[in-house]
Amino acid sequence: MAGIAIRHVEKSFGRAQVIHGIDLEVRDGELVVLVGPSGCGKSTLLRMIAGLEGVTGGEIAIGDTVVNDLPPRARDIAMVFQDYALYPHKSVYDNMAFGLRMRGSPKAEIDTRVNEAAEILQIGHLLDRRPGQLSGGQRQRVAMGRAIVRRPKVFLFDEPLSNLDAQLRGEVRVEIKKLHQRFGTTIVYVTHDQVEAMTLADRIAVLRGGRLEQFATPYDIYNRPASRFVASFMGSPPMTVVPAAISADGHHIALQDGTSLPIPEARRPTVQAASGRPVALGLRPEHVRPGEARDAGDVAVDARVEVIEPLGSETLTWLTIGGRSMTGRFPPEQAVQPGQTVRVTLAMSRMHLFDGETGAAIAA
Amino acid sequence: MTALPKPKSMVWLAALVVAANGFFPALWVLFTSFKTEAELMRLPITIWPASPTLDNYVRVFVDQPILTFLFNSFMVALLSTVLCVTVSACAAYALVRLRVPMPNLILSVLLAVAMFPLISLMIPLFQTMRALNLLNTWPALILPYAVLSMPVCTLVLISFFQDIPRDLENAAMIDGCTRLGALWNVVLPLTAPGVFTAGILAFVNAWDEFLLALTLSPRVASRTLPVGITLYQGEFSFPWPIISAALIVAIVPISILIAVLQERVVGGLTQGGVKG
Ligand SMILES: Nc1ncnc2c1ncn2[C@@H]1O[C@H](COP(=O)(O)OP(=O)(O)OP(=O)(O)O)[C@@H](O)[C@H]1O
Ligand SMILES: [Mg+2]
Repeated sequence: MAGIAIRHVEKSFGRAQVIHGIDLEVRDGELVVLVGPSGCGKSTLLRMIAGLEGVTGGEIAIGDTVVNDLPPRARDIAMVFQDYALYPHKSVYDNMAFGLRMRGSPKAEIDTRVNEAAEILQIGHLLDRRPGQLSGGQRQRVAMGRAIVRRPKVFLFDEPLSNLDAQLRGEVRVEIKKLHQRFGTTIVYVTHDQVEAMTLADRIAVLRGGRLEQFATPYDIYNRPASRFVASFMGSPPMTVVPAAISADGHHIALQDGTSLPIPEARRPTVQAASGRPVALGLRPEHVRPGEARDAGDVAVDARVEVIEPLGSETLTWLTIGGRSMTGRFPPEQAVQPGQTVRVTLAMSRMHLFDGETGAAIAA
Repeated sequence: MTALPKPKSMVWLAALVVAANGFFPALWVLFTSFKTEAELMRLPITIWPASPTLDNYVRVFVDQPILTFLFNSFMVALLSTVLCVTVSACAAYALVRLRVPMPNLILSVLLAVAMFPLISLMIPLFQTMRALNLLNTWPALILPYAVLSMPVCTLVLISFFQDIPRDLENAAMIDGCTRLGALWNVVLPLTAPGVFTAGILAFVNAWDEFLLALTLSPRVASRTLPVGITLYQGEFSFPWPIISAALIVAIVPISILIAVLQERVVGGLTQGGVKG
């Protein structure tokens, strides 16, 4: 078992630099999820940890060992690939046993470990089959089995669930969480599915264009996003972010059509510095509710309903407020119709403010 | 499937023409090998031997050391095939997987080499082998045969290697293989049909080759089959039936060998399939 230290790592392919100096400290036993839009360098970073890609600059350490110059086989890691990468010419048993065989484990131990892993993953009845004879979900389990039999220091997952259907994905997600709780092995997990990121991670690293945008717990990523990018990337439906301006005294925030919203007392000191500058106001859908203001800091405004999406447990409602479109989460029993004008409450105490130019969060 | 637009009989006819064109000479040789010389010269021409005889086969083994020729041919073809496939596999792998500069240029050069007329290489090859003191030895043929088949083998293997997902090798390397280990444990088993195809090409090229063999290895004891068979020809006679029998002896064992190997390799593979 070991943590991973990524120290100012850079990566270029030819002249194109794709990782621009990332620092990341994964603690021993931690499950860290790398998220970010397509092409932001998640896989590249993971493959550098695995040793499948060289490092152009900086340093990667697993435990106390700097592994920059170690080949993958010497890093004591296991990896689950998006397309599983099972050996098609080997049986399920041999797929799982291969890594142990290559390391010269005694036959009896291989047998014990493979059977143990097969039992945990409920694939005992598939051991004689070839990967070609398995369903997607079964292959996925075999791929995980191949990783866990080796008992490596670190597990690396590259979008392991993206080829499964939604229901199976949910099941296997829980399975992965169980495995992590059971073995307590350090895991680095790449996904672009934010539900996976939120549910699995001890900490989430949000990457953007080869840079680390924020590295924090799922709670902080969701509730204290460091930037407008993180705020709109995590959360479904995403946070509504609209351009706005703060009054000179820092008591009001004005939307572009002139609608002026009072800023709650508690937030005033921190936003004062941004007064007079363009900012962006962010509100999560759950902070846009129907009805009149109830709590301190709430502001009630009139809104026009554009589209409703009933989900059963709630109704997502697309509204026009202050000339801008915003999303609200309404209780399902709230009967609203498109075209209607309704009274909605903005929980201004939960608002997020971002610098209008850099997108960086203005301290909450 | 939608109905074929042309009647099936046309397809059969076409197939028959192609097959007859390919097989008739071989069958003719086979039938001739069981005829007496007198029958062959008689009119009207017979196709089926009137009174089949094995005399020609006896003569094949008695008149000349054909077993030596067979052995020479087999060893030269086998060793040149092994050498050729090994080098071609490394080259193809490097071109597909490793970041070799200008892979397309390298491929074009390979192809250009394959276009070289053999005859233009003969004198330099002869001088080289003489200087190396290799004339009338197996290596005199093994080396050029391996090189001559390399371009086509490399091309065949490239197309097979390209179908292997990179992550399969990555998985093997994480599982404890070196890159060569991954090539051996994962890539080669999965590309066995390609390796086999390349091997057959190299083997048959070497087995059939006449010009170089005649030039570089003319001594009777070191002759390969194609050159050895010329010895059945007398100064004033050309015993067709005996030469036909020798040809059959040259063709049959190798055909059987290839058929058996193919059965094994292909049979073992249909279960796998990279796409799974
Ligand atoms: N071998 C390579 N050669 C050149 N460029 C590469 C190579 N591999 C990746 N890249 C580039 O590096 C960038 C990051 O790629 P990477 O695969 O890490 O993205 P990702 O975040 O995993 O995206 P996705 O979510 O689509 O998997 C991309 O712009 C990609 O084009
Ligand atoms: Mg990726």
